[in-house]
Amino acid sequence: MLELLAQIVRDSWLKLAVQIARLLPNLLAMLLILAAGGIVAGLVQWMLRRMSVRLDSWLHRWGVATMVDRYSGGGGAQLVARSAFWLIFGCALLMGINALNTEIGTRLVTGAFLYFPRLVTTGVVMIVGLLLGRFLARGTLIWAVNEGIGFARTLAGGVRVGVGLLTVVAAAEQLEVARTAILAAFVILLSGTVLAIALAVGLGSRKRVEQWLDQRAAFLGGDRELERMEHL
Amino acid sequence: MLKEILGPETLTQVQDLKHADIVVGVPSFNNARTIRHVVQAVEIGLQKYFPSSRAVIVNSDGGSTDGTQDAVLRARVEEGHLLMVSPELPPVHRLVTPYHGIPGKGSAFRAIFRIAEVLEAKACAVVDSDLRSITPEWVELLLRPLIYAGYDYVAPYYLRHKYDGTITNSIVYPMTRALYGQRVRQPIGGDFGFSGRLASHYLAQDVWETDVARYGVDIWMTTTALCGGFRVCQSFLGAKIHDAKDPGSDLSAMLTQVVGSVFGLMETHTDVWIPLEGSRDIPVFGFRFDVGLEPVPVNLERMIQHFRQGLQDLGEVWEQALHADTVRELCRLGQAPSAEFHMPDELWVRVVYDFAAAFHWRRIHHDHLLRSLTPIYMGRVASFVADTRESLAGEVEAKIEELCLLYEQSKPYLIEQWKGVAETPAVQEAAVAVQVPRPSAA
Repeated sequence: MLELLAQIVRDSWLKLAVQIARLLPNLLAMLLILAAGGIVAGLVQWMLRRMSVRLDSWLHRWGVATMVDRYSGGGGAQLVARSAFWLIFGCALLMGINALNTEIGTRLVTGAFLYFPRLVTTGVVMIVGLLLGRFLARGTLIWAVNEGIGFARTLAGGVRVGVGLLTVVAAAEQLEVARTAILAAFVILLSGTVLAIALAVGLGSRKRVEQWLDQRAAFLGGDRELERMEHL
Repeated sequence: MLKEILGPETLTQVQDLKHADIVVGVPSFNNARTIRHVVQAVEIGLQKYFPSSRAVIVNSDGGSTDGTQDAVLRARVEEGHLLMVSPELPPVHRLVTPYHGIPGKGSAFRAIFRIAEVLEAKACAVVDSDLRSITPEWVELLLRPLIYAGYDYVAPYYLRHKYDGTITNSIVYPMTRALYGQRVRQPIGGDFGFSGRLASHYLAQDVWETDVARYGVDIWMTTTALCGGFRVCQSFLGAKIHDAKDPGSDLSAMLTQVVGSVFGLMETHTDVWIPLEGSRDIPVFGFRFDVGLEPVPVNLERMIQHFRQGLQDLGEVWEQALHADTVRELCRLGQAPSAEFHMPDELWVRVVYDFAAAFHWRRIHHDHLLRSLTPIYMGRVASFVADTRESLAGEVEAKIEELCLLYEQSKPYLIEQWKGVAETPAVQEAAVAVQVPRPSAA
């Protein structure tokens, strides 16, 4: 009985050893690919950082530097360099997994490559949404300040959140992740917000709204008075 | 090209006239209330002061729907007005033409320039169609230096209330003077005289598809004349009174357009303004006299409040445009009680120069940048009003002169910022956080 048990264990070990021996070259190939990918990604990142002065100057000239800087934590060129590193390294990782020649690995890599265009589109949607939200919020803030609206920051924040939510919905649509649920949540949230504002204006905050309208009328009155002043 | 600007009907009319010595342009858009008076004044001026010249009045209209064009054609000079002139009056031709191209005053002017060029006019003038204070003498004052003294450009010199023309007094005049070295007191006056040679020079510029065609043509004309080496002078016209403006007109948009035009022209003429130092007077023609000017009511507290709100909400935007020291000083100013509110000239000049550099380096979207200047400008106006409350016109003018000298002295700072690194020190210096100022009790 004990001998039979030992035989089974021996066979299992043997099988495992054979499998490991069979997988070892693939594993080594994967490690080699990862190392090569890491080196290439590092080199590309280094080169892009070296070129950063020209890229940053270009970004400044086009007026997008400050927007990019805020989210990159070190300049637009840094962001590009870092993105390039992770893109190359990500590709190397997928190639490495493929080199293992396992069924799960192959399925994962195929899925990733099929999903890749969607990921890129989603990334673009997110970046555009982020920049657009920031741009529109800043425009709203400046407009509201010049109009003498007391809650200028809140208004600008609302615009940013609104654009952000729209971006999330659009991104979910691209990724096909819980599309219906996210869209429904967005519609409910939007309707709820509108209803809440309507109720607040109609009931709870009527006095505050009246106050605000009075202030606004006074401001516009002041503006009209000021209009007697020819600025040009 | 010619047909594209003028249209076939106008072109035929212009060609029928063959030649004119003088062309006076009146751009208009829904100015039926005032344009009759303007056309009459111009016609009397032409008949009285230039009786031997062949003259044409051109109304370049932007598609008015209130009968402006009819008002121009129906405006008749009654004999009673002309007791002082010869009974045999030479005819003054009138042309009413809709302009083509981008809607705006610049496109209206372009049509006038083209007509002057086709008619080979020696001297031209343009006057606003909403003027209530124009007299026939304006025509003489704008044209005589061109015809008899060989000048190419005549800028207006008005008498204005001390609180009027604050954008001109605090930004456009000092900047134009510091940049281009000539003291043109009203660079964006709106009523100008120019030679036929200069009209052709204007036409040859490749700007008619840009913002110059929409707005900013006044400062563009002055700057182009200054930078093109043309002979420039001024004529004293007395008081300038407009038709009442739309109360809803947006100060922020106006400031954006004017300041954006000045900064845009700095980009075009960098080679001209960077090497220039100091400034020189230019001749003023006409007999100077004083007139009583209507008082201008000003809501000082509202202006200060606008500045404070800007400081509270736009700190992040200003940090990207302004030098760290400038931001710090603005913060200090925001904490001062209203009664002691005073923006030093040095600070204001630095703000304007920092904004010019930020515009050049595109640190922020141009529209955002220029609109964010409005609260600081309101602070500056409030400070100016408070400082000059008891001052007479001469004292106020002396104060503006001091400001102009400061602009000139600080020009090296502007050049340094203009040529310097794209990043603003305020952004780099993380320590400068805009503290929300609590309005102190007045």
